[in-house]
Amino acid sequence: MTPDDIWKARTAGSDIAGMRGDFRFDAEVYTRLNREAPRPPDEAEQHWCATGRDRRRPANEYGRLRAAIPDLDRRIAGLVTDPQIRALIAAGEPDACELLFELILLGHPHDAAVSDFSATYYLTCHPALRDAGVQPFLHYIQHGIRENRRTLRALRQGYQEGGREFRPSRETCLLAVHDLSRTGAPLLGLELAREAAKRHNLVVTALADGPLREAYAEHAVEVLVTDDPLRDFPFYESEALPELRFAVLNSVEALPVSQVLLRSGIPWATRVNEYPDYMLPAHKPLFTALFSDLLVFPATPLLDAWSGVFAETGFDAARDVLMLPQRSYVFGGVTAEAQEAARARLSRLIGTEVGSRRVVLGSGVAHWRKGADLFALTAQAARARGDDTLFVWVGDGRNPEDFHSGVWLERHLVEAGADRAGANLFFLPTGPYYDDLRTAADAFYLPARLDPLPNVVFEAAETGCHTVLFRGATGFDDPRYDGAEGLSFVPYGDIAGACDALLSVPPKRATAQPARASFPRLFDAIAAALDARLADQRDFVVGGGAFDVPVMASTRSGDHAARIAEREKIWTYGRKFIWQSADQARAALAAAGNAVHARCEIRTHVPTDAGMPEINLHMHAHYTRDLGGDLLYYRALREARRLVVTTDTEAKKDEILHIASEAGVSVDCRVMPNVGRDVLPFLRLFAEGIASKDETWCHVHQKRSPGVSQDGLVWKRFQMVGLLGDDTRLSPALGLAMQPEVGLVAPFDPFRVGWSGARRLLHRVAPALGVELPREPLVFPVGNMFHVRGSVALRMLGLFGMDHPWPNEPLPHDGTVFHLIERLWPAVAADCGLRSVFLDKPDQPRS
Amino acid sequence: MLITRDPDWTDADWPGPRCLVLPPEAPDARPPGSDWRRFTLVDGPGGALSVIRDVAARLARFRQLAPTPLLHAPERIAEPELAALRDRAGAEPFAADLALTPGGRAGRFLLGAEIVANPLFVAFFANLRRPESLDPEAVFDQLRFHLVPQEDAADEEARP
Repeated sequence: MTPDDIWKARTAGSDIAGMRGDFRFDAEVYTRLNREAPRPPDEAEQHWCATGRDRRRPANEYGRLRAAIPDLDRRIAGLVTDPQIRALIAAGEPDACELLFELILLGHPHDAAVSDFSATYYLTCHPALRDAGVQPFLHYIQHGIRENRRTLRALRQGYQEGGREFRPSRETCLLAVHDLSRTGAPLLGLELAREAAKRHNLVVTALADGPLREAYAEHAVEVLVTDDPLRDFPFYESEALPELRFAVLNSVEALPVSQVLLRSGIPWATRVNEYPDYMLPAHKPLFTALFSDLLVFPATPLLDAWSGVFAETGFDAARDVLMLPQRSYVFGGVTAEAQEAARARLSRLIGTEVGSRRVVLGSGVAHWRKGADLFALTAQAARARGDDTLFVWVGDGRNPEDFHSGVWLERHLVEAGADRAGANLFFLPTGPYYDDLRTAADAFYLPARLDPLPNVVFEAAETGCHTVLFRGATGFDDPRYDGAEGLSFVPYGDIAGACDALLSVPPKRATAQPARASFPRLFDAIAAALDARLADQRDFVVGGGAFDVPVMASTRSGDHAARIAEREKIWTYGRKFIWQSADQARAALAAAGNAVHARCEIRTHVPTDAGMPEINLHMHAHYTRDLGGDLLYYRALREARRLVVTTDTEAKKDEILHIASEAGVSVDCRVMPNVGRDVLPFLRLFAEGIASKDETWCHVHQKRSPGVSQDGLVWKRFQMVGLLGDDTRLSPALGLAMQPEVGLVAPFDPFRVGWSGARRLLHRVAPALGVELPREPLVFPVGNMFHVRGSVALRMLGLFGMDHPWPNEPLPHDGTVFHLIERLWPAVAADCGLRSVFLDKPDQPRS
Repeated sequence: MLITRDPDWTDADWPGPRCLVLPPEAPDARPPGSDWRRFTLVDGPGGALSVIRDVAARLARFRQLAPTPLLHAPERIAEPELAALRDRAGAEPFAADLALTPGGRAGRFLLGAEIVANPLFVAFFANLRRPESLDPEAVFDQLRFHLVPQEDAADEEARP
């Protein structure tokens, strides 16, 4: 085919065919670039034919750019996927690249049909370009290609047809793994894939590529590797994806896939193989519990470890959990010949004759979590006892340039004499000799500080290794393993006890054949449990409720339906994270039946025409960026009886006084230590006699919460308007705060936030309070801005005292005493016999 | 499948899932352990067409959409009349009967089991944008066109 034939074939039936019979000419471009050309398209084309072509006037975008970009053809040719155009380019057809360029420039669907470029995908990947209104292909060919911007090619490289044929008669399911590395969870996932493929069309998706890709592809219809499933899934030319009926997330780390599933209404089960303690950021376990239709746990200790997450989210573990051991535990042995050969190999690996010495094996990334340092300490302890047992650790991650762990481990190993001739301690990298090591070893030592159910323990047991491990550190605390042969537990971190246990392990027994544990049919069990769980549902919630706030979705208008889907799913399962309405929160307060909530109420925010009451204002200004604007805008700041601003340096104080002077507002500025975020400076006002018991204070701060909206501005305005009003009208909160029975006033927050990490600190303050702390706070000044009676602030200060060992910056995002104080305000107000009022202003955007 | 808004109608005899549609915090007279499905409409009451759209989509998602006749009856129907509707649904798997409210809105309606079993059933309602703004009779005409084989539709029209 000639370039003209291809152009005609590719544009047939479209408007383009009528407008542009020749790809070499684009009337719009020609008239734009050639002022003397007539405007009507027909006349412009005649002009080009008559004069323009001979004068080599640019008649399309390709012609315009060719003069400016010497290697334009090379850039274009690199994008071709259409075999006919590729052949033309290869044959040196002079118009081939121009044809390809102009076809791509037509956009969807022409571009992706002939090349690895899609304008739609390009703009999806680079939304700033969409906002700027640039022509995507012209941007890419001029700039994006040099900037190595993501294009359809990257998406297609992540797509792989699998070894299985799509069968319409089968159910289609998705298996999501966080990566395709040859490590624990992906290897377990591969067992799932193998099983799933027997009865399903299996689509595998992974957030990162790895050496297991081909192994997964063998069992799958399609493999999709993408670090952003939400962005990429709509662009896969997949036969199977539209048919998805359910999904299994192989680990919590596969959470990003759930955004796609949630929006499509596809149910899923998540396998939980991790403790929430190290699933960071903390939203991963929270969102997993909020949105998974079913959670699958391999052992009860892990389930127990998630109880805090369940309490935060209202997750019903009795209803929505499947307990499913990942594999059977079998204690076996090895043949004498195999053990002899393995010991010989180990001798060569460590350069030390093993002989009949006891061998203790450890395994995992050489890191604090896996307890590689404790392994070394135990080896030192054994040596100090005069024992000649060999301690061999196998695993990667030993890195003397890693400041957080490797530097210190390296020093430890040097001082312990590791890896030298005559040593009893050796570290080996991961290698093809792993099976020999467990065959050679008599004992396996798992000094992990937290490790769910490491496969290495199962594998060691199969080869007759006795395992010594800590109580409270693994899923092997499950009663299912009580009395299991070859498992010895010692108290957590008890090096001496571990050493005793290891040195009493008998030599490995020789057997005729090694044992091999079987893998239960996990996938079928998960699929059946998910089906049953769905079929059991009797209560459904329809609609998005009063507050259009997101959880995983964005705040963009295009995500409106996704946000509703999030809330519907949370509420349908009776879980909690966002209130359906203020009325629902009122009902929860009424039903709570405790003294704190009996003194809490939610009222509707109605702006008032009343004047400014005799209220004092405290603003903590660690950040001063918005201070001037706030002083100029908020009427209440200008009319406050007294405005005290605290900050943490003399320089900022000078700046604040200058800003206030410019704004014409009188400010009493105090410098305080940078401890306790915004709230400790506020409490110090009372400790230092700047504020008193009989006054009423409004406390605000200049911090934004960037996690909830762009730059946190929307969130901050939500707080400020709720507490202060705007530039003309005052908030009713000001008047309410002056009422004698009221101790606290704050905006009502649509999010139903729990004790979170502060839960573990409750026991410290509960005995000092005269009221019982509720199981769930339900309402509190989220963000720590409020009006408060001086007596309440003093009572809060009294709970801790200024001598309290306040933690210093930098602070974690949750779980500090300051997060506890934020949640305690209603309880302290109740303790003072006062009420807490929360003002609902649903028309005020929160995020 | 039965869809009603009458919380006191706990003894309705109808094949398939029985669905009670209520506003938040509304009283619910179902006995404990009841097999009824409860749908709480947090954004307001919704009309008949949006209710069937919402209920059908969720039952499908939860694998509970059974190929049984669908009766939308906002309020209790006395048993003799209900029995007649059961008979009608049993005899006419492609039945598509609509009764308008005095205000001209969709009220009670009956869809035969074969219509509910049609793979396009959920999609048909899901594709109705702002269903309360649509003419319900026109919607039903479209429903018959898309979900009822034309020979059955002709039979229905010829029925006295």
